[in-house]
Amino acid sequence: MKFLRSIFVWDPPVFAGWELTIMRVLFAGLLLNFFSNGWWNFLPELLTSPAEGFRHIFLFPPPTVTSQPHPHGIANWFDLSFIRGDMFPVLRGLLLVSIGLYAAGLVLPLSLGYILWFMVCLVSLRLSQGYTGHSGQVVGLGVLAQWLGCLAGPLWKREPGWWRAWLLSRGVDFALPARLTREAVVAAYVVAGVTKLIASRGRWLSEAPNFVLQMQKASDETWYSLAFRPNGEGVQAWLLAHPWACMLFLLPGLLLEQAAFLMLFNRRMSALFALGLVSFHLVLAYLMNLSFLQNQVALWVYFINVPGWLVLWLRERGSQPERS
Amino acid sequence: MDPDPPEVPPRKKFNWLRLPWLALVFTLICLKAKEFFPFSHFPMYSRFPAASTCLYLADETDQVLFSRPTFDVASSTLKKIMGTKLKAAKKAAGDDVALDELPEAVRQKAGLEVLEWVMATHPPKDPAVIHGKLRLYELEYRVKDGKIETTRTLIAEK
Repeated sequence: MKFLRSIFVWDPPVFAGWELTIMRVLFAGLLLNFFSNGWWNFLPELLTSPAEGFRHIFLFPPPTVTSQPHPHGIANWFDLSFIRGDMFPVLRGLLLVSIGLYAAGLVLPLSLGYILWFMVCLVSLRLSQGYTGHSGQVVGLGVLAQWLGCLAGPLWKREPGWWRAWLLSRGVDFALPARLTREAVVAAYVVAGVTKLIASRGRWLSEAPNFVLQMQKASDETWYSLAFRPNGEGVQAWLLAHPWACMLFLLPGLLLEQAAFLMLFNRRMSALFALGLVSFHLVLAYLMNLSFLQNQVALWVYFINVPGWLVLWLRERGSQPERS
Repeated sequence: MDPDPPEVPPRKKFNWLRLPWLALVFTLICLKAKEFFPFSHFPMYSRFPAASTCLYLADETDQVLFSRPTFDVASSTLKKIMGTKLKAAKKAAGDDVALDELPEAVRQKAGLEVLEWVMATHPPKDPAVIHGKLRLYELEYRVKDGKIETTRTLIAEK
């Protein structure tokens, strides 16, 4: 009972400086992954063939698309094809420097601003081909939220020399950007939950028995793309025989998404709920090859926060009197 | 004499600035903007219609061409491109025509455009793996008598 009460208390976590630094460095790794299309896949190559590994991780190629026949986002106003031209190596170099500066906590308004600009241009160009993907939006929202946090913090305080501090991130507290990143991730999950009800006109659960068709589609799409099948066959056969079970199977996911705002309540709720969402992603990855890896990493970094819990546990253990 | 009262931690003062305003603003923008990177309304799996489809590529001998290793494109992307082409055709034909009621010739034309798009933007790494023409197939799934019934249709070849 005491535990239940503790997880529903409105007590947003206040992260220590070292926690915020770890979060920023890990998020920098996620950003590199975003652009290099999975740098951790090339880590073994970095050991066996360093030059090739380095090239794959840092010298990622420009987008293959040349035009924007179905403009998406800012591509409605600007021609973004410049990003794949002769300037690409320079723009990519600036991006890598910006990610490095961001990880080090330096010139955050500028480094984050550049990362955001590059990301929006690149992804908007890619999404202007007549199809939309949704694997990068959570990271994009996170970067936007952090940038807003970095801009707003020093401006809000308006201490003497604030503009210098603002520009150089000297003394800039990363607490606000981190808090806003958490809010951005929460918003993404809540929106996904609300859209399910809007798009289906409230019939999402009653249509759930047709989920088996989506499993079949996901299995075939994985096969015809990559020549392997996910592991959903047994579960799919069982759900096909028990259509009502589809509702029970999908309901926890819907509830986790719609109630994701609870993650902002306190540390415990944050970690518990995020573990629930990660489990939800892992089940979908196992059954349908839909991993949403970037979302999972964002949840581990900003909500589950393993280093923070580890230190709390060690401190609590250290403060307990020894038994004689 | 009464024992000392237990220490009660001071109650934190409520601060309205600590409320998750940005989460609220981002939620509203995402729902309103729908698709405007980085904003999105995340419509994946928001409907479970009674039929679903998958597209794949094959050569003239019906040998499957696994799309990632051959063209570096996902089967799901082919379906999204096909959807965009069909929506354009639907718009041209008048809004009262349902997507799945479009004439066969229109679907074939959209399929040809998908194949052209693949060859223009994701040319095969090794063209020799395609024997003859490139084909676009559609698999349609429906539940019938407690089983998934799959229908295969050749949409277009080029």
